[in-house]
Amino acid sequence: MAPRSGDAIFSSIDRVNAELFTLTYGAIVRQLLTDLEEVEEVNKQLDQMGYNIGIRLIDEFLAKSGVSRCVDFKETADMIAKVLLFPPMFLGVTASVSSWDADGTCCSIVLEDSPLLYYCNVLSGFIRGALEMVSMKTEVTWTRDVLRGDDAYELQVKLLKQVAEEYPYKDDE
Amino acid sequence: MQFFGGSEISPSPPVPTATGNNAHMMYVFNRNGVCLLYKEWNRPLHTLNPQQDHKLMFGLLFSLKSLTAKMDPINADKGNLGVPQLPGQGCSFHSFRTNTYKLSFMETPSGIKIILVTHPKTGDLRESLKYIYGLYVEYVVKNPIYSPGSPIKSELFNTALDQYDCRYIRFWSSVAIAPRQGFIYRRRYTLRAIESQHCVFHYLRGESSQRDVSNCPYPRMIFPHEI
Repeated sequence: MAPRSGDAIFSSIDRVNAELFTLTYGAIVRQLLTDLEEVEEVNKQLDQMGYNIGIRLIDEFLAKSGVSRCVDFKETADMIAKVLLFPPMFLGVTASVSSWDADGTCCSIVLEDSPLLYYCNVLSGFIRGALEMVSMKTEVTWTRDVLRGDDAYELQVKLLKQVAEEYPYKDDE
Repeated sequence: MQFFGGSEISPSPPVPTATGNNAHMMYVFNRNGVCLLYKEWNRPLHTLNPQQDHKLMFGLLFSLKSLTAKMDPINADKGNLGVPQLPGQGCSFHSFRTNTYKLSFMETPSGIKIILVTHPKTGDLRESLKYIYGLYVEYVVKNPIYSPGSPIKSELFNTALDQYDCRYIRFWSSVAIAPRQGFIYRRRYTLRAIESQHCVFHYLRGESSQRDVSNCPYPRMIFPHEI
């Protein structure tokens, strides 16, 4: 079964009003700031939240899109940018993959505009969580951020290692 | 003592009727071997306690996946037998059949494995397994109370599975397999075929006298276009 295009998938899932989503997210961030007060702490929390979302949402993405396997990191990153982030699959963000490094383990994803506005750490946690569930340990960092005056949002996704499936039971049991 | 049941003719399974369930059992495992769900509709024989049963099942699937990936006639890149693989890498088997049951298997890139044991004459269940995966996503993954990696206790999921299963026909089956020492079958059940993405392994044990030392089963690989 060929993987369905983003359009087909988008039309098959329930959608939420983008403004509602943005306002809700803003409310979460505001509450976190009130509770934790420190920006670093808030970012860590957001990253953790994104991670929790990512580990679950990867299953939904796999079920809806019918993709069987991305053999290498390059394909995976393309898949993230084009299907996961690019409209109309999940977030409705315009994203493009660029700046591959020499051995293909590190890439940058540039987002033109983001419904998450500032404090986008949820997205980095989300990508990290989703990729971990397909056995790729990655490190996701923000290299460019509009909040800090750059012109676009840029995420750097670096593949640390691919974890193969080990037989979980000890032989003597 | 003969282990592989070739000489004894097993009783043929009763003819399926038009109502009831076809599926006998269902397992859902995650990538760490935790059995997230075990559902049984019709299983008259329990040979092991649940933990051993789950371990057995998981071990069997692990070995079979490894086997089909290494014996894949189409893929050039194969590792050594026994080397762990990434989920989804290599050619994965999707079912195997014995003379009394068929086991259908699906693994997602995120490591979720869904297994259905049914009547041997059941057709290709890959679409059904995908549908069940969809149900899993809807009722389990999206449930905020469920923590990933723990056994599933969702009533909605169970109900949805029962409802989906009513379309099939009722039958019975049971299995006793030791994954590490090779396949040791109860005398009535013989392996017939293992189906993978690129080919089908047919298994046939020839008739011979008990004193024949060279009596060994031979697998014959058949490509999909030959069928």
